[in-house]
Amino acid sequence: MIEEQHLPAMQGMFPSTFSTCSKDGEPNTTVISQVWYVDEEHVALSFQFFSKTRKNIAENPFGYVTITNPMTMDMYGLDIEFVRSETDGDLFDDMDMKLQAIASMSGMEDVFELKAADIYKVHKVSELPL
Amino acid sequence: MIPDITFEVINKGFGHLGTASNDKMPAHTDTLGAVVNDRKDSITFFVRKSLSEQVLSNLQDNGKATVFIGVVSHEAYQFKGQFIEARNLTSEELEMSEKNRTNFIEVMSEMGLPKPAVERLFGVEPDTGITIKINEVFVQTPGPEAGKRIDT
Repeated sequence: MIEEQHLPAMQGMFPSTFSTCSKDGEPNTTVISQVWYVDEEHVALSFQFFSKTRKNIAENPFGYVTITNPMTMDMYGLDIEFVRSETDGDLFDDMDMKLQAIASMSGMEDVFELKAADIYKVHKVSELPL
Repeated sequence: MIPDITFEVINKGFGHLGTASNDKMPAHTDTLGAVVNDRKDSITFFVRKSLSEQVLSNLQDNGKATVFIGVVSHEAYQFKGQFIEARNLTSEELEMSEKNRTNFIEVMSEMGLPKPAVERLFGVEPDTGITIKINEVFVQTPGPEAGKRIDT
């Protein structure tokens, strides 16, 4: 599913876009700093704010996220489904450390706080036809 | 009425137009410029049709749209509304998009991204305008105000 060619787009150098949908069919789209590689069939997204995204995922676990290779601008769309949240462990610690680094670089130290690492199953990866 | 405080972000920012299918599967496409229409109750977003097929299909079926638009300073807004139409862009709209895209390519290049790569996405002009009647506007700038609804 997730292959070597996709990994440069998951290093957090270019923001990703994440869309969800409520149980009533209302879409929501937001920008996230990074999509983390977990294994060939899973990615992790940072849960930072109690938001519409979080509410939608609780109602309807399916999402769509695009990732971009910053060196080539190759873009990939991932159809994903929420599996679980992690609030400790190596993945959470790695994500928290990276998030704080991004926050520091962008003057957002007091704003960005990792509440959980949300794990999603990847159902499909599509390359966008630039 | 779309709040005046959002106009600069609409005009200078780049966004992501989100939709959902009738079976509640989300999809989005990047916007390459936008213009607030004369009555200030709708926005036409500029997109590339080749990258927006699922989005256009969803809009025909479901009609609900959401657009996140932000600028480099992190100021951002979310616009929610109803699909009105998809149409060709005017020469004036294409000119607006080119000005914004050229500026953005320079900014991204100065940040260290390879210019030829950035031009693959932002150097190609949009060919379709998606007009959305805006019903709600929310602050999306990171921070305590994020998610706050702005009166329209």
